[in-house]
Amino acid sequence: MKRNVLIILLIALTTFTGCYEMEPIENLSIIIGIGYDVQKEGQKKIVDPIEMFVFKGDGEVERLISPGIAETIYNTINDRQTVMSKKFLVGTEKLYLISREWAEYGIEDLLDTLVRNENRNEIAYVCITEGDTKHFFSMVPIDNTSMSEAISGILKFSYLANFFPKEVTIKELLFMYHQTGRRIILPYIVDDKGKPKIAGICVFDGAKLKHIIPLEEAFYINMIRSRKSDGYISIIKDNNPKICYTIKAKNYVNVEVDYDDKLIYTINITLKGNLKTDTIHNTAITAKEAKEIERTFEEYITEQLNKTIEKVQNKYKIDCFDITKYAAAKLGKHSPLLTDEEFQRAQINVKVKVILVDLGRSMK
Amino acid sequence: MSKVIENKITKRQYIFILISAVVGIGILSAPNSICQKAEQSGWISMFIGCIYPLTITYCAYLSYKNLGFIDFYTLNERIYGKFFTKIIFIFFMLTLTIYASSVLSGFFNVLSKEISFFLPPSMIVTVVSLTIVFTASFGLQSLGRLSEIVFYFSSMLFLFPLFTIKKGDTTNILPIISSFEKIISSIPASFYSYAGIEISFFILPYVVSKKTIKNAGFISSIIIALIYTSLTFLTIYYLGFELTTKIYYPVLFIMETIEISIISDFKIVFIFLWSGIILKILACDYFVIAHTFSRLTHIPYKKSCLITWPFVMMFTIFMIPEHGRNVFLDNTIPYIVYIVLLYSIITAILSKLKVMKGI
Repeated sequence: MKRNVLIILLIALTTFTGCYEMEPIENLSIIIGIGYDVQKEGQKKIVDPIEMFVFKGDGEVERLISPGIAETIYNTINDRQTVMSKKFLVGTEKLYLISREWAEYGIEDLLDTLVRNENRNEIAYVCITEGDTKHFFSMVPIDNTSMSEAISGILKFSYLANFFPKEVTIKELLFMYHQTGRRIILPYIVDDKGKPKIAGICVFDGAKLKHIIPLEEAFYINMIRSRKSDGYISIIKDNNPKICYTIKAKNYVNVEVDYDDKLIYTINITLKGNLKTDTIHNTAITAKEAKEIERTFEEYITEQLNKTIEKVQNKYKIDCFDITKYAAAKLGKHSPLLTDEEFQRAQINVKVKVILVDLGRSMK
Repeated sequence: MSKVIENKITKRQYIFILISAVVGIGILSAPNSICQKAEQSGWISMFIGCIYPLTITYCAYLSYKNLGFIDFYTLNERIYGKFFTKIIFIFFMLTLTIYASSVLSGFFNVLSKEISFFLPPSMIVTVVSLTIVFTASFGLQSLGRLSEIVFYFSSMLFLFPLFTIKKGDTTNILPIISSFEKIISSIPASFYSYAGIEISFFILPYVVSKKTIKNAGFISSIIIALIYTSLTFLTIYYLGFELTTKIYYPVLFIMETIEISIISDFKIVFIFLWSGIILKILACDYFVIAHTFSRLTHIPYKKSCLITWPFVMMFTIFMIPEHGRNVFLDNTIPYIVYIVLLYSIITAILSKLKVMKGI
């Protein structure tokens, strides 16, 4: 009996399995970037340009941009395949670009597809673009082979400055959309003389784009919403940029929530940093002066943060700081206090602590 | 038939067979089913749910201890008589057929969706189920050795989710307890993850060292509970319960998000290791099916291995659509679990009464 089963198994394994109906690599196109636009003239159709690598033989690889136009996300494939001479595979994409118009129209369908389709790449990067995404894909990459790699590289290393959070990926997009008390916040990319550039952050309400916040304000919003990111802060004296303090800091954030007629958030921000420039003191920095520098920065950052918080509460009127989740953790996931109205009424206190770990090698 | 009775397993192998008979598809789907009601406290319900394997293994031990470590068929005959023994065996055979085919169809779904979408579906089911028949036909002793060895190799599988500790967010699991009602009401949902522990009744008499067997069931139940609880906890900690309840296999989702420079998709490595665990659980389930069948019909064990194969295949093909499978299991598993629980408790009590009467 054992021998019979073994023989059947061997025959089955060797004859009935294998890569049938699979195509060789010359007939494939490898998707590296996917974009979503709205058609300018017409009935809000999706334009879905994808950037891909095609293999021409002799080790020659070229990139190609091919848009499909249809009403839904997957119908664009119907349209694209009518002009494409290759089979294409999903799962290797590195970047998702969403145009501002399409984000304002809503991205519910994309969010559902990303959860439902297991072949999608969860660690691809994602951002919102000003204008058509096709325009960004058709730029000329300078230090990369494709624009998708260039833009995903920009997003990947964005956390090294401006306190941008470390993860700007599809999985983080899904977390931000689904987890209680959070909302989608994505980087905003603009065309800066033919090159992509991060110019701010986009704040969503549900699945629709609500506000675009410029980088100057986004700097302080990022300081509250991200963890262990880097940023450079300068204080200029007498309007002379040559006389200044600069520190490079890493942010550690801790939020406490209380309820007393209205929500009270206490945000403790600890900035651990190095002193990079100091042209104000002309003598060697003593412990006392180091304390003084720390205090100056604390006052300056607190003032800026309070200004930003006031602006967010009164102008944007939705939680851009990603702090409602702390209220959800304290008061329960189904608490009625997690609304935008409660956020506008809430009292937000900021306590900043700056710690200078290193003063540099300069003796002066 | 006589060959099986000669088979002997050690206490350690008994523990590993219990673990491998329970831990299977639940690794991937347990967080999903438990979070539907319990939300972020799902991991607590998961841990409390281990009363099910604890009760079953302890009742099995008590019954055998009272009546001397005789065969399961003889034990039932002494307590319930010939007619009811047949019914009980048919019940167990059907139960294990449902378990085995649900695991096999779930395995098929994961394989065909995630990695081997180019293989024809009939091929995957046939090859996998024939492999199982082949493995199970070697008998209990080989099964024990296999379980032990494969557990050592595949136990590193349970270490992968630990990487989420650094990346998760504590706000996802707070508040730890939002309502006791939700926790209590979702405990039965955890029983499905622990289903399969019934194999304890069938293999306990073949253990060599009967004196130290008392705590073996306890150890294996706690190991299983720890595996499930830590997985559920880490999944909620990383994904949040909202996303966990939306995906059939949340643990696979976590695996996809692991970034390792050389490997483009870590999920495939995970599924490869996990396949070992699935083949093990299927072999354990199949052993019981063939064993009960051979006992009912007096056909030798090895032949009954082949004879029962079409039944399992039939059930599997019936259960392949994921939504249909879930509806079917939601409607059958709770009853099966309660019947098994009731049966084991009654058996333990009756065996005690039998002994007292005998004295």
